[in-house]
Amino acid sequence: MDADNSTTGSFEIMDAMVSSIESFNATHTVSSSSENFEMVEESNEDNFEYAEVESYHSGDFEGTNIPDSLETMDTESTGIESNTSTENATMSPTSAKSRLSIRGSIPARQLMTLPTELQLEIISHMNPAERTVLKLTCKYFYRFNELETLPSFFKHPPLDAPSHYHPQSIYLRKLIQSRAIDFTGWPCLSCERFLPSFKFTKTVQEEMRWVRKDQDPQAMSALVLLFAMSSRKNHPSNTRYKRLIYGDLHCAECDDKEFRDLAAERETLYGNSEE
Amino acid sequence: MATDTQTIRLTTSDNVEMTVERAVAERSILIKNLLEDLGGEQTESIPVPNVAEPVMKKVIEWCEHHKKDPPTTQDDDSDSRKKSTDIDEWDQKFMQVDQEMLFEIILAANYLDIKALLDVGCKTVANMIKGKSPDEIRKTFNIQNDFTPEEEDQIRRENEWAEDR
Repeated sequence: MDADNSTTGSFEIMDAMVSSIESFNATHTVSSSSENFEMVEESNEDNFEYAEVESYHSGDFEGTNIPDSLETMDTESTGIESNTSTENATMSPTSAKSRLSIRGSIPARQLMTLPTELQLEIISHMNPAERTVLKLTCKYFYRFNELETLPSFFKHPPLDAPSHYHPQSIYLRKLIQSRAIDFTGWPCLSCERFLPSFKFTKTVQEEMRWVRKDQDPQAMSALVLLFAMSSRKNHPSNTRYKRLIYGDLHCAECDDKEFRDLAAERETLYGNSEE
Repeated sequence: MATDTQTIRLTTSDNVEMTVERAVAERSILIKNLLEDLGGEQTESIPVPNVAEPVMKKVIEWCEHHKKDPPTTQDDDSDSRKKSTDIDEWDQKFMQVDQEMLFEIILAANYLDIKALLDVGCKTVANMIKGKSPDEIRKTFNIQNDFTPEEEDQIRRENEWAEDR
């Protein structure tokens, strides 16, 4: 399958994805901890859809980036109601009204005492790095799913797990919905960073050319990543993304380092061949 | 049909009655819908039980300045709106208030359903967080650091990537 066909057909998917994200934002329902998603992959790579029917509870999957010691933190110690799961957080005058009536006894308004939906609204205007810094301020913000950090993406199991239930794709979806990822970059699986495409070698850039000039790079990259991760690794249409699927996607700097390490290792084993 | 000069009365939570131009008050979707539901000319004062007078004054000041802005729709909930933290110069000055008032404005905008004002308020807070270390954020927003030193060290190591962005 050539690149053009792939990307043209993917327009529909992109639209579906973008509209799904938009509808998510329109309702301002941010419930990543209770998301129940299944990514339904159809035989044609250009036609897959998402269905919010799966009973998978995203809170169960590994790699949520919470150290064991922090998972057992005493919620009472913050002195704040543990409502960071953000379930049923909706932006509506009604909810605000009900919250206001409850919160009438709180004398001073502070960031910490704002209703969760408004804290999430503020977070939605922050980039991933700012979200991470906020996450590090206290236990209350540490538990916000919407403040999930990017390294979690790389801590999940290898990409060859069965499709649909792949924790990485579910996690990725969560990140997209909470807008924690800027998808103009690709993941380097060595240094565990999302980097702009020019940081990768020309060969990789050729292989990973996901986006046509007239398409939204962010939505397309996210889409292709999701697709690649949800597919079986031996799926014939995945040859273009095999680097990602087989965990062989590295930036130029890491490629160089690997080459140097190999050369050093060879030299240690066999000595300098020129001598 | 309501004319631009038509006024309505609002009663704030501290029982202060305020007279506001209807077009200005209708920046609030809550009030707009209420007036539409009631129909005809509104003679009685509309209670706004969750907003006190000083906050309502600020909200009305904002609505007056923005009364000619196109009405916001659900479609405005776009990526660019979310991602940008750019704030109009007038709005920046308008938001130069103490933190308590800032959060009261955000709460009022949420209650009155004034999306644009809510956005400006949230962007202002987001901008206050921008470029700060966790400790500076704690100081700015009076957040208590309840991590133990070990926990703090552990999570800092896990999130080092954020520091060189």
